[in-house]
Amino acid sequence: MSKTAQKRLLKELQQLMKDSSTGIVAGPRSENDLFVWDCLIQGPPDTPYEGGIFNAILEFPKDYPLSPPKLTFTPSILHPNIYHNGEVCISILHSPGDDPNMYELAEERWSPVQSVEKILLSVMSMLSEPNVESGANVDACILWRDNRPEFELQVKRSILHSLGF
Amino acid sequence: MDYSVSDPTDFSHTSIPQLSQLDTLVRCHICKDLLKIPVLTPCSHTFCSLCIREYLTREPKCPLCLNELRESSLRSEFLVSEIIESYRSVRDALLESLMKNQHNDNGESLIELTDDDNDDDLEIVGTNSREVNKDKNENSVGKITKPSTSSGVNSLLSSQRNKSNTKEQLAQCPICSGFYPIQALERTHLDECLTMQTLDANDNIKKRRPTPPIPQIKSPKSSSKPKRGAGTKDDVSHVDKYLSSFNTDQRRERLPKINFASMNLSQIKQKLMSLNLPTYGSRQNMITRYNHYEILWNSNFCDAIEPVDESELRRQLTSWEASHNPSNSNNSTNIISKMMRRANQGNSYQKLLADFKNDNFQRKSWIHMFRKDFKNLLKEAKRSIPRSPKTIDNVENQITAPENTEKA
Amino acid sequence: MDQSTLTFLVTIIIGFVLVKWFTQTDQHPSAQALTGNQASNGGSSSANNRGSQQSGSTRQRSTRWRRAVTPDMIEVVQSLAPHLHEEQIRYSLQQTGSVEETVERFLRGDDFPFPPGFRAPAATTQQEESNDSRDPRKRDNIKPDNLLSKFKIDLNDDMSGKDFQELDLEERKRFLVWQARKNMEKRLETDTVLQSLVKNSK
Repeated sequence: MSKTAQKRLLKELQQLMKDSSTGIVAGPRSENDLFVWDCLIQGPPDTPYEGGIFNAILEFPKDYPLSPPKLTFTPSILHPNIYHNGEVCISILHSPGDDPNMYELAEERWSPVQSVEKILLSVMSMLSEPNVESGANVDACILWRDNRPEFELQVKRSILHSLGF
Repeated sequence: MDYSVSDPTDFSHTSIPQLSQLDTLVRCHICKDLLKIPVLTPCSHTFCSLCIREYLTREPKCPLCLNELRESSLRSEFLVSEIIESYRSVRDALLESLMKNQHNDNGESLIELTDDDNDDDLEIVGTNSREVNKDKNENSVGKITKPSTSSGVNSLLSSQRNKSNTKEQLAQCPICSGFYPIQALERTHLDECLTMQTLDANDNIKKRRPTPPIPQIKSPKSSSKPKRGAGTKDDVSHVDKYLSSFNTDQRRERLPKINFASMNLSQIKQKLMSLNLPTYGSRQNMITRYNHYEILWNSNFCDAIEPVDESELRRQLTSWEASHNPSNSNNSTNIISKMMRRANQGNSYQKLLADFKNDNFQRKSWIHMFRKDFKNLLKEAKRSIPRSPKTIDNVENQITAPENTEKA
Repeated sequence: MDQSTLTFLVTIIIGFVLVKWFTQTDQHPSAQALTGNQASNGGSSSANNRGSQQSGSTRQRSTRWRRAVTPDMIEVVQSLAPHLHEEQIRYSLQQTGSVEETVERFLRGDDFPFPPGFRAPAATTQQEESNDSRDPRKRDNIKPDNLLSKFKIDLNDDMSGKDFQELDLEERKRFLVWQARKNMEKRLETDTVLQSLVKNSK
């Protein structure tokens, strides 16, 4: 167990508990394991995801913050940049070294300066502005590009479902 | 060992919320802790020496601006280092007193602000015009940095007024902005302050703040000199450390990066042996061991203001290794314990610690050895329980729990 | 008696040599991937008879002789030729035996072939995708799950009076979901699209 990683995670948790941005709740799943966090993210307003609450898991590597954590939506949501299994594909979760998609800007990459809060905020902005160029879910990409109304309907339907309607 | 985790938001509920900015600034962006052995990059960013060196082994870039960055271009910052050390030493007291101040203010400041605002200003002008200047300065600074917290500025002002009410004889030193009896200020303090400058002064204000009523109890004349003496006793060490930091001849050569690709096993072993490092494990293990030791060494002997000696570095290395390769730790514990014994011949504490790592932990002798410390800790813990405010308590409980379990 | 001790000793020595042999190959991770087949061949045959063990080991030795390839060496070359695949570099290094030579080849613009029996990188990643990630990544997990039951929220509760900052983690989550539910109820009253969606799903 890396002491640095644990200390840093504790600090981030404390900061998130004291003043978090609106629409984000995140914390360790259990007290015994600081390296797996449960997060709730509110869908950003003026998007199909408005009004929805999405559950995600953050898994931190042992050498955090040198390496980025992994973010997975459980359950997954229909979005061009989210894999079917819920894995999120955004640039902030890749270190500048590994380069799945060359065109992502280096400035948006993972570095130890980033934090859980920044990750979740950029996920929110990803929800409002999908990047179809580096699609993770091809079906969602096509739907989003060619039949926006249907895409929005599907998203809204699942949101209503999740809220018990 | 601190069990609680500190972070900049600690200050956001005190009477000077702007301090959380200061607190953020003196932290490393990688470990989010107060900077330890700060180093400066060519792009003018500061990180802990160990953090940035470790990061640079993966990514030759500055984590903040992503500019190219090489390990050799890091420069140590003794002044920052000592500023932070002295800040670290007063942080808890500062925080505590600011919390208290705020509790007091809540009742009184409202009344003061509405009722005798004018009187107050006049009184301050009467006693010491410098203080008003100071107030204005702080006000404007607050506005520049954080325009939204005008209430914070108000409470800051009012808390200062409170103080000026309670101690009419005191005046604020323009240099260190601490409160001193006017006479002492004019005669001795100003000179001292001018020569000692920033570090010492900063400490003094922080040191004095926690106890605003004390000067009143003691007579001003007697309080001034011994106070300073007491204050400087542990403060000067930081100043001295900084001033004397350039003529330390303890600096040593930095360890070079080694290209292990061109070395065979015995050469690597030889290299490790020449540094008194253990040579067990696979080739890869030895390489990572050397690499981490190189980081420790360079950070210690090139960057630290007062380097520790090699055996301490080796201890750090073993504990790092133990925590980083759990698979390896089983067969390496013997060597670790051997090494520790070699370092401190037959010290029973070392033996115990080695046993602890071996899982042959002997409770009784451990308890026996640290009975005193345990008692002190218990006492301290009991004392601090009723004092801590409610909101923080909640968070702290949650936060300390996992760490405790980990320690157990 | 004498003979049994002798055989015993001989077995131990052979065993020791074998163990040493394998641990040494372990230290060259580069060697593992490619000679995995060879090594296992050598291992199994050595168990059977000595003759083939020798041939196996000599074969190994001859390949190993050329190949003092370490990850560091590959890294050095890769830093100069980032677009080359690791296997290409490794193969070239095996042939040349030195970083300098390989780099010179690269600078000369030589062709860097893949080691024989190695699938082209595109093909392998594709294969990996289809073999490994088909399961985890493409397994469809897009299905709304009911957050109200997940967080055990009673809709008759009134949580509106609570101060978000004062709540603990679990309560915050429940608060967030509760709030979303209430907001959605409000929106449903006006939003016709949503209304139709709710009707359809029922």
